[in-house]
Amino acid sequence: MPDIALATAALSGLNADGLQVILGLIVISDMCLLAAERQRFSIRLIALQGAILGLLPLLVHSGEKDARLIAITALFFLIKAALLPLVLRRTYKKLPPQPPSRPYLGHSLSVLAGLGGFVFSLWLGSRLGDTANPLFSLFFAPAFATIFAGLLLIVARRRALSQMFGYLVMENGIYLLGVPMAQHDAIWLELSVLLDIMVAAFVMGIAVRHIHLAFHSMDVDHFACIKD
Amino acid sequence: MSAHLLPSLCGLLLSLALAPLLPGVINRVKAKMGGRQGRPLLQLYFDLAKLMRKAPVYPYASSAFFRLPGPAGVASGITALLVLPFGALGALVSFPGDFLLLAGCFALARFCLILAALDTGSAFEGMGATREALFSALAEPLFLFCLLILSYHMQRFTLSGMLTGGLTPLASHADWVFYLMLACSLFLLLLPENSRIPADDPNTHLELTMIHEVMILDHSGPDLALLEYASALKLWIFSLLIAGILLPAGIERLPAGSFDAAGSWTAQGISALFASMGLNLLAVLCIAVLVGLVESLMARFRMERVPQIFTLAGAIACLAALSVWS
Repeated sequence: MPDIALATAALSGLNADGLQVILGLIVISDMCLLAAERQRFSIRLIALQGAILGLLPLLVHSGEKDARLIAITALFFLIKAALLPLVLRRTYKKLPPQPPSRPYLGHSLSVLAGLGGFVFSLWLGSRLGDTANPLFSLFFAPAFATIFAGLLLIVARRRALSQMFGYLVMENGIYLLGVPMAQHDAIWLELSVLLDIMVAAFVMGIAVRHIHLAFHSMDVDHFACIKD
Repeated sequence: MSAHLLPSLCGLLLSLALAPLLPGVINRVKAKMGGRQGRPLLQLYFDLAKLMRKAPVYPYASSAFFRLPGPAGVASGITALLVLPFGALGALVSFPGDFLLLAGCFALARFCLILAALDTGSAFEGMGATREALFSALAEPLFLFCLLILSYHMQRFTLSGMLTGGLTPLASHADWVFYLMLACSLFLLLLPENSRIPADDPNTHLELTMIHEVMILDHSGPDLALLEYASALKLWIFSLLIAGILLPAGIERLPAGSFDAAGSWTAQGISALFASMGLNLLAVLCIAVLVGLVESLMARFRMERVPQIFTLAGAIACLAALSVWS
């Protein structure tokens, strides 16, 4: 990973190792999400990714951990690891069980495309050169790969709920990209974005339910019959 | 050398003795997750003892090839264990490129099993053999790739060097990501290679969905016992390999003062050796528990989806390679 020495030098040994493991787990979870066929498994993965990401502010913050930072981290953790997966789970539970549908892009091809996205992110990260915040270089490739994985889920999946997963994964990537810069008061910006996302997830959950009531299916191909 | 020989031999014997415990641990975890008491942990030992006392029955149409997979499987497993280290010390046998022997042992055992399945002339066993051949064509390159990137990363060409050697200058802070991803990839490979859910179900009795089990349907008595033992050995070897990858820093070197001036073990060395072997054993058991959890929480994949496991394992292995090469 680019500028890893610079980035890790800015952190204590434990934090650096913890960050490495967390970033690795996020990329692995991206690949698992792209490979996942069952929506319940995808929801579990999103909850896991959210839990991992929720802990990031604590690890990134190299100084003393004050009560404010711990409270914000707890809030991030609560929203990402509990509230958002809960919304997804409620939506999933309300829908009648349906057999898995074949996506536009196969699961194996999606994983390979995700891998390609990670390689591209690494290349792009190496082209960026030195950044003011060395942590940004460390986070860039996994974050960009997560955004790419989210986009891939949105365009490659046939079901509206799966596309919603893609939206949340993409948000996780954006959050990951913002974490190194979200020091001190800037973290409130991250929090406001996250709250927007949570509201959007609620709205999408309701919309998905109404889509099913109207079309008796979650297949987005059925939307093609809508006329002006 | 002689000081190293005895602990390595102990490691080998321990592996041979404890391998049948792993299926018991997996079954116990599955039973607990399902709210049942489950079979005894040592059930496979009892089964093996019972099968060894029985007389074998061979199909009329079969030839000598039918008797081959049991002994070949066990011999391959023992050979693989000879080059695979257990704990802080190296393996009993170590030479450059011995990781290829490990992959070759698995391939030989599989080849003999496929031959035996085809030898019966049964359509079901032939179907299982073709499935095994198909999935092995995907699994073997991936397994070799994992070992090759580990070899490149550690700058060692022996399994003992890769799993117990010190870290090289190439190793950076990306190490943890590398080991984690490699272990994930090998764990995903462990599932189909050892006929576990979601790729295959070792408890299935439906011929149309079986892969490994369908090939041993006609085996009985001591032959079946050897096959069961060989499959337990294979599961142990995979688990030990993953444990060795996940615990590189903890066991890489014995502390100074482990040997006295005459080259014999000191009390400190012996305790460090036991600690490293215990740690490895614990990691192997944890991997068995993890397999049990996966089997409890996941449904079996449709046959057409099994190659996706290899795709995912391959992608994660590529990520591991990228984490050290980029």
